[in-house]
Amino acid sequence: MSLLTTLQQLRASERHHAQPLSRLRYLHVADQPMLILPLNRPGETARPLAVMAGCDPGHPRLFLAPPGDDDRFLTDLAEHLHTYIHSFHYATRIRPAKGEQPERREYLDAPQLVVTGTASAYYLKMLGRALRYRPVPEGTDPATSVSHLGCWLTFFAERAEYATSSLLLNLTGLLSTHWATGQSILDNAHLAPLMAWIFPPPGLTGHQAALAAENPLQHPPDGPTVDPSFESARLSSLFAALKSSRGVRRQHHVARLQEAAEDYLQPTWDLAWKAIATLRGLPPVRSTAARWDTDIRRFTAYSDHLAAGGPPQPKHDDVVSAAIRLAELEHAAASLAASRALEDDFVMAERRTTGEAFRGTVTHTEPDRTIPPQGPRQRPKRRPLITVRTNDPVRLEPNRLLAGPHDPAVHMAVLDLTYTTDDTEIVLEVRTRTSNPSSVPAVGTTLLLTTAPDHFRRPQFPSRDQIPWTHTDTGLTAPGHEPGEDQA
Amino acid sequence: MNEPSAAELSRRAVAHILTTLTTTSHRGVVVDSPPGAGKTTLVVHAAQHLTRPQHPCMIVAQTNAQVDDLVSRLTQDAPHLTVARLSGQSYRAPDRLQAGPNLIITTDARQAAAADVAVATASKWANVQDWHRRWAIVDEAYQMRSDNLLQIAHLADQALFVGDPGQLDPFSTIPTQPWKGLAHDPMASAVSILLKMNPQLPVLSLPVSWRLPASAAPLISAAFYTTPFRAGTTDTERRLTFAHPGLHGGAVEQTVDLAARTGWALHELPARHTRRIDPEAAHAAISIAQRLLIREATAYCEDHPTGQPLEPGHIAIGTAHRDQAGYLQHLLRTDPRLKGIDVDTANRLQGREYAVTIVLHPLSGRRDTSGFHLEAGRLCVLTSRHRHACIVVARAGIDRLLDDHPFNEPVHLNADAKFPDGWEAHQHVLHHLTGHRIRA
Repeated sequence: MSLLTTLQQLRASERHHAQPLSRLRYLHVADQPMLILPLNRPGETARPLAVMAGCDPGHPRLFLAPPGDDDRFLTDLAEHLHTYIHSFHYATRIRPAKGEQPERREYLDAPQLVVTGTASAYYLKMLGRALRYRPVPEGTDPATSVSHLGCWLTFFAERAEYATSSLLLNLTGLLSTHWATGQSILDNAHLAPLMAWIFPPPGLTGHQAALAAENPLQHPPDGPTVDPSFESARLSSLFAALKSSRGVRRQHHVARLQEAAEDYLQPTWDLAWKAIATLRGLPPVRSTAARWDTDIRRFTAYSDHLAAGGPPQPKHDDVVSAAIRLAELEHAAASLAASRALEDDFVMAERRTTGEAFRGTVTHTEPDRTIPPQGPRQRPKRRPLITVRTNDPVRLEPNRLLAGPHDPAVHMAVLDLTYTTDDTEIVLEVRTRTSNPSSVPAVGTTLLLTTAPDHFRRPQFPSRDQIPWTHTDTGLTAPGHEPGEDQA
Repeated sequence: MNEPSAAELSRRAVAHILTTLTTTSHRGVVVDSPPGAGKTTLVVHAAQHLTRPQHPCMIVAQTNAQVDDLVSRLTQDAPHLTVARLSGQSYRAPDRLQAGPNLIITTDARQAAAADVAVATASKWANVQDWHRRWAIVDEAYQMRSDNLLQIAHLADQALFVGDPGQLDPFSTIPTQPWKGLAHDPMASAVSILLKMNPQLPVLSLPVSWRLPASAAPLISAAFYTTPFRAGTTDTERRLTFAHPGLHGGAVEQTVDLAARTGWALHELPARHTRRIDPEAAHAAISIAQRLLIREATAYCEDHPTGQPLEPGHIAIGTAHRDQAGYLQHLLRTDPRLKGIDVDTANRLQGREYAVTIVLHPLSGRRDTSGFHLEAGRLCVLTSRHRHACIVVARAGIDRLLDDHPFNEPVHLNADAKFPDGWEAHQHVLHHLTGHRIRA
C-alpha cells in the first residue's frame, strides 16, 4: 500500500468520514448496465437460491430456485440475460481496414454486468463453469439455452480478471479505489458499510453509519453467502416446510420464500444503484473510451464465436493459451497503471512518493544530438538529450522509458543518473517523435515524468501441434488429456 | 579411508556432468547448483565440451548482466572459441566487452550463425527466427518462467539446465493465479514444469560451495536445500581481522567483532512495529558498514592468503523491498567513505558475491507475515551472498511473529508442496542466529 493511500486511511479514521483517493474514473459505466445480485443456498457450492437482476432500478426481477425446482429458475434466468445481451446485437458499425487488419463489422455497444464485490464475480464464474457444459435440449434454440448462459457468465467473469475491462464491474472494488475509509480491506468488501462510510445519513459520521450498517438484520450483507441470522430466522423453517408440502401449500411456501429473498436483497439492490450512479458521476479519464472499445471488440468476437456454434470455454487453458493469457493479463495491469498515472494527478502524486515518478526542471537540452549508425546499412539517428534536475526521491534505473502528461507519445529513456546531496540529475534521451521540435522542452520547463505505457507485442508461442518436448507430457497420457478427466 | 577433498569432489562432479552430456539419451539434463558452487565455470566448461566435436551451441541467460558476465568469462577462459553476443536494440555493451575476431556483438542472429557459442537473454532468443542448434545451455534456469522456456525450447534438440533451486522463484505482477496446480502453469519456474512433464530426466548437482565459508555452508545447506553441499574452504582459510580495535562497549562494535570472529551476527534492535522503512534499522546497517571500513578490516582467503583490505565494493546491504533499498541508497550518499557499497533487493542480488553482507531481516518490525516475506528463496539469497560474514539487522520479536503466524496460504489441488517451506526455513535460520545475538 502506498504512502498516500495510508495517509488518507489514517485521515478517514481520524475524521470519521471517507476521504477521496482519486476523483477520476478509469472504467466505463454503461447507461443501462444489468445489476446481478446472486444468493447461494446455504451449505452448498455454486447452487443458487435466488438471483435478483435487472437494468431498471425501480423494477428488480427476482429469480427463485426453491428446493426441487432448479430448472425453471435456470431457463428464466437464461432468458432474461439473453434478452439483455441480444439487445446489443442490432446496432453495428463497420471498422475500416487498418494495416494488415481487414475491414470488420462490430457492435456499437456492449452489455455490462454489475456485481457488488469480488465474491459475487467469483460466484458467477463458478456458476458459468457449472452450466456451460449442459447439453442443449433437442429442438430448442441454443442461443437461449442454459448452456449459453454458462458460456456468457464465464465470458464476463474471465474478462473481469483483466484490469482494463469494464464488462463486469465490481462495485466495492471500484469504490475503494476512489475513497479511503477508516475500516479494513475486509470490511470494504461489503457494500453496506463501505457506502455508509462514503455517504453517511444526515447527522451521523461515516464511522457511526458503518457500525449501524454492520447489523445484518437492518442491512443484510450482500451475497452470495446468506447471513446466518437470516438463515435461522427465515430460511430453515421455510425449507423444512417446503420439503413436506405439495400443491397449494407448497405454492404458499414458495411465495413466502420469494418474499424473504426479496426482503433480503432489496436494500442491497437500492444501495448498488446508488453506487452505480455515483461512479457514473465521476469524470472519466481520456483513455476510458478506448478501453471500452476494446471490450466491445471482445464482445463482438465472442458473440460471433457462439453464433458460429463454437464450443464452450475449455475447463483448463492449454499450455499455449495459458501463456498467452498470462502475457495479456500482465500487459493489461501494466498499461492501466501507466495510463492512469499519466491522466490522473492523484495516481501521479502517489507514484512520486514511491520514486516511480518525479517532477523536475529542465536544466540543459541538446535538441540536435545524433548517435552514430548501429549497423553497416544504417544512417545516424537523431536522439535529442534532455537533462532534468529534481529533488523528488527517484528510484529509476538506466534504459527505463519515461513519458509525461504534457505529451504521452514522447518516450524518453533514462541514460544516466547523478545523485548529489539534495537532488538528482537525470539525463534523458528522446526515443520517439525525435524529429518533432516540440518533443524537446525548453530549458526551465517543469516536467512530470513516469514510466511510459508499453505497446503490447503478442509474444510468439509455438502452435498447438508443435509444443516442444519441455512442455509435453511424455508419460502415458496423451497431450492435452489429463488423467481422471474422462470420469469427470 | 580419507574423505576426498572439496576440490576433488568438485572436479569429479563436473567430470560426471560433462560425461553425462555426451552419453545421455535424454533430451535434457538438470544441474542443481548451490550458492557459489561454480555454476559459471560449469557453463564455460560445458560450452567448450559441447563445441569440441565441431558442434556450435547456444547459451540462454536471464538478464543482460548475466549474459555480459558469461561472455567475458568465455572470452577469457576459452580464447579459441568465437563467441557471439546477441542483444536487443537498446543494449549498449559495457567497456569490458570489446568486439574483435573472437567476439561478435550484434542484434542480428544471422551474423551470429558462424560463431561457436552464441549467448543472449531468453527474451532475445524468443525473437530469433530460423535458428537451430544441437545443444542449448540454459543458465539460471530456476529464475526463468515456464512461458519463457516455451518460447525458445524449439531452438535446440537437447538442453542443459543449470541453476540454483534455493533462490527466488520467478514472479508475476498479476495477483490471481488461475493456473495453480496445472501441469503447465506458465507462472512456475521453467525447471519445475520441465521435471513435471519429463520426470525421468537426470538431475545432477554440484557438491561444494566455494563462496560460502565453513561457518555458513552447513546452515544454508540444511535450511534451504534437499541435496546437501559443503564448503570448499576450512575455518582457518577464511579470516576477517581489524587494524584498529573497537571502541568500548558499543553494540555496533560488538556486532562487527562477533561477525568477524564467527561469520554471523544478529544485531537485534528493541521490539517495535514499524513501517516498511525503519529508519533505526537502516541507520544501524549504515553504522555497521562504517565501522567495518573505519576499523580497516582485512579479509584473508584462499585467493588472498596474505590478506586483502576490505573496500566498500566488497560489502552489500540486502533488503526485501525496493523502497527500503532506495532509502538506504539515499543514506549512503551522505557519507563519501561508503561510496561503492551495493544496496539492493534479494531479487537483484541473486547471483552476486561479496565479502561481507548486511541484511535487513524481511520480517523485522512487521505485524504479520505474508507469503512474500516468508518466501524461503528470499531469505536464502540474502544469507548466502557472503564469503566471510553475514550480519543480520532485525527488530526483536521475530520468533513470536513466526509462532503467531503459521503457514496459512491456500492449498491448491495438484500443486506440489513447496520445499523448503518458508516458515520452517525462517525458524531454522533464526534459531542459528539467536546464538549470535547482540542486543542494541
